[in-house]
Amino acid sequence: LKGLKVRSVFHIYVIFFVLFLGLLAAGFGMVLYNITIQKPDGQIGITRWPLDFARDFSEYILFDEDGVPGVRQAGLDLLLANRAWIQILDSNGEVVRSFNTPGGVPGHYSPANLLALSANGLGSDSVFAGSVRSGDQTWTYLVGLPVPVSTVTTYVNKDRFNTLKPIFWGLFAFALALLVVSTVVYSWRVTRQMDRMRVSIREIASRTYRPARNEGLYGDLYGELNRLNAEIKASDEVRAKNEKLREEWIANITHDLKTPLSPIRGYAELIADPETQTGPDEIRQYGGIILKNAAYAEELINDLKLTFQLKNEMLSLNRQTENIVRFLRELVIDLLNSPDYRQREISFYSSSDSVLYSFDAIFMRRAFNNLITNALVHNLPETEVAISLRLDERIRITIQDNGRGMSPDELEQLFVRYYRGNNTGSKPEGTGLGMAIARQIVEQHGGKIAAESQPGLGTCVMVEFPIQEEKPRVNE
Amino acid sequence: LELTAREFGVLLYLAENANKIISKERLYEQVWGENGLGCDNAVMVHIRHIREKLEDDPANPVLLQTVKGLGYRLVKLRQS
Repeated sequence: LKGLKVRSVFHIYVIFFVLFLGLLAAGFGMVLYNITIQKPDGQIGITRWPLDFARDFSEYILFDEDGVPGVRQAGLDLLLANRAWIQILDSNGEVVRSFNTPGGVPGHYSPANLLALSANGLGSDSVFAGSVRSGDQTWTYLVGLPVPVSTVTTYVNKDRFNTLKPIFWGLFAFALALLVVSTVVYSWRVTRQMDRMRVSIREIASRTYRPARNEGLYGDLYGELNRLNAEIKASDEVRAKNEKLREEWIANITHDLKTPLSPIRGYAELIADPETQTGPDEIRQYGGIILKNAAYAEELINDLKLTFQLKNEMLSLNRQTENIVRFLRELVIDLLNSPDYRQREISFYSSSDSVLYSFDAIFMRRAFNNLITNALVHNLPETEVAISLRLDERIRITIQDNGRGMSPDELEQLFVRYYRGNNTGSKPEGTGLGMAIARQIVEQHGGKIAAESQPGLGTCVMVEFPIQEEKPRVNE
Repeated sequence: LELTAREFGVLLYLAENANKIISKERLYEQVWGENGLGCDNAVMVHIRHIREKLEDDPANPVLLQTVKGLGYRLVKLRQS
């Protein structure tokens, strides 16, 4: 909330600043618009230009030996170029020379005429006067220019104007100084804060940061830095935990890969030993044990490869639209028809007889086989296993048993790669990767898997898949 | 025992897979030879007819059992 306040104050400040700048620019533009004028040759000049032109024109006036004024050729050219005219008057106001004058120009000027002329101009022309001196005589000349220019004069209280002028300039200088000083102070503070921030970020990177109080103008930023620091620390912990898990995993794998090797080695030594008398029946028996253990090692390696490939998405699913109810029913029937599970109680229920879903039958068979046999193997023979399928906005499949159940710790590790429950006990059935593989397959189909369990009451594994399309199957 | 051709086909397939559960769909595919669904009424009707001819008490079948939710199973009797 505080950050919001600071932000909104800053926002308003920026808006006012922009408005102020805009006003300043508009005023400047208006002044510029007022004091510029188009010269007769088309160029833009400031409005002082006609006055300067008239004043400087005295250079072009020369006098003959009788003291009569005239205009140089260069001056005449200049007048023509600017479509201007000139009249030169003697001290009595009589016109003695004129050039390029328009119609209706008087030949004599009284002082009153001259005043009116310089104030109002002549027709659409502006007229400016100047004087030249020759000997003891003063000549007045009038220059008319075809540009609309007028003089604005303001009258001020002379005493006050003279006292206020230094005050005004003083205030202006003070404001300017204040602006400069505050800018310097502000940027210095910002720089200092930036420096602190830079140090903080470096500390976060080197894991030596201590959370700062998030108060003041930069409280928001420090709050974010604190959060970044907390997240980096959390991810560090996760990484350390993963590292530990991986080490345990490797230790487990090497142990379990070695387990089948020791009986293989032992019985092979027995057979190979020339001192020991082994009959053909014994050799056959040893060979059977060796084969069984070799098969187990092979299965373990294959499962490891599969789970690795699934994890890295190296296998692509060969999805085909099939009736998943039929698929599950046949899977359950096959389990019940196999000699291992002939005597087991496995039931199947589906809310719908036909649910079309696109899946990879080989992988899906593997996943559900793993899930169901997991329920069968880790429980007593009289345990019932119920598979049911329900269809709402998703396909929901549950595999429920009324067996031993699991502790919360076991449940948490259920789908973790390479974890074997304690209940398998003396006869290790499977490789310990079955549930992880099942989860990976379900997830690769875009589905989700979860499990609930209570020790003594049984376990329920829930699988759900999103429905892509549901169209009634047409009989050919 | 008098059986129609279809009934014989159903019984033959079940006997070939005695003591095994066979789903309705599979039975239909095997006997009718079509890949169809929604025609499982035909399977149910034929099962009932076979039971009427085969079982002592067709309401409580012993030989041709229904496995709920899964399919049918023809039980192989020890003495036969």
